[in-house]
Amino acid sequence: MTKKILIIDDEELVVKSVGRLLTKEGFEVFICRNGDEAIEKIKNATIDLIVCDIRMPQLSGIETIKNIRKILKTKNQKAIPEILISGYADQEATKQADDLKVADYLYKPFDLRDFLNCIKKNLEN
Amino acid sequence: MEYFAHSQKAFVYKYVVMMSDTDQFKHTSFANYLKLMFLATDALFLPCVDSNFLSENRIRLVRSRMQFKRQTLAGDNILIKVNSSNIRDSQFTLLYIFMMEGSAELVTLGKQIYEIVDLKNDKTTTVPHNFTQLLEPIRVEESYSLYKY
Repeated sequence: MTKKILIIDDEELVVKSVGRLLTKEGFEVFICRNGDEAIEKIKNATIDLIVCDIRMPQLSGIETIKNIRKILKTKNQKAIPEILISGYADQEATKQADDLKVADYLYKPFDLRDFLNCIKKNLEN
Repeated sequence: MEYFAHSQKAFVYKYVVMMSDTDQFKHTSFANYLKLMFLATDALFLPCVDSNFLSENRIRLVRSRMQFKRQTLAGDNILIKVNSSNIRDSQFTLLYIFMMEGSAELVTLGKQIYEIVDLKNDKTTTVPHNFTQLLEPIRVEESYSLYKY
């Protein structure tokens, strides 16, 4: 069955690049430009993996992930692996990601082959 | 907790936008980013370029392009991440990502192709070993880069 991946990022170039790669690899890709859009999407769709930028206008990636987890809990759905991405290696964000126990955390820019391996590894897990 | 993949290695040059970089509306944009690209390149090659090198060679810019994304203001901290790619005998490419330090917003993307010219005959010569030593650790494969330059 085709795996569904939700990408949450406000950066057009990242969304395009990552979206194109994942589609080419046979994944079904959903794109949300901010946390609120993503929360709406999660309410109405079944997703296998989330890729979320940390720094976004309005809701941050951390807050978005927390809200998504709450929604999954109320829907009695199992947890979805989350991969956080960030353009800036800031210690506070890293600590927050660590506290959240997300599946992976990547710094932009990353090699698309590493990114793809990361996606596949977390989908297998 | 161990994360699977971190960012590719890059040479990082930090720059604080000054008033002298800005226009009358206090913005910095395209032309000044080009200048910053050269500042970052100079900083990268600082350990390799001495008077001996300069008396015999010059670094020729073959091609340059930039994708402007957003303006910055005086006082903004910009991180310029430089990677190399396509390192060949006589030519190499530098890839630049400008981002805001705090918000990580993308400011601009750049790409420059360089070659080393022998001043004696004004012909392209082999990229010196100390240059490749600097370039190899920050080498990326452009086709697998997150950004398209």
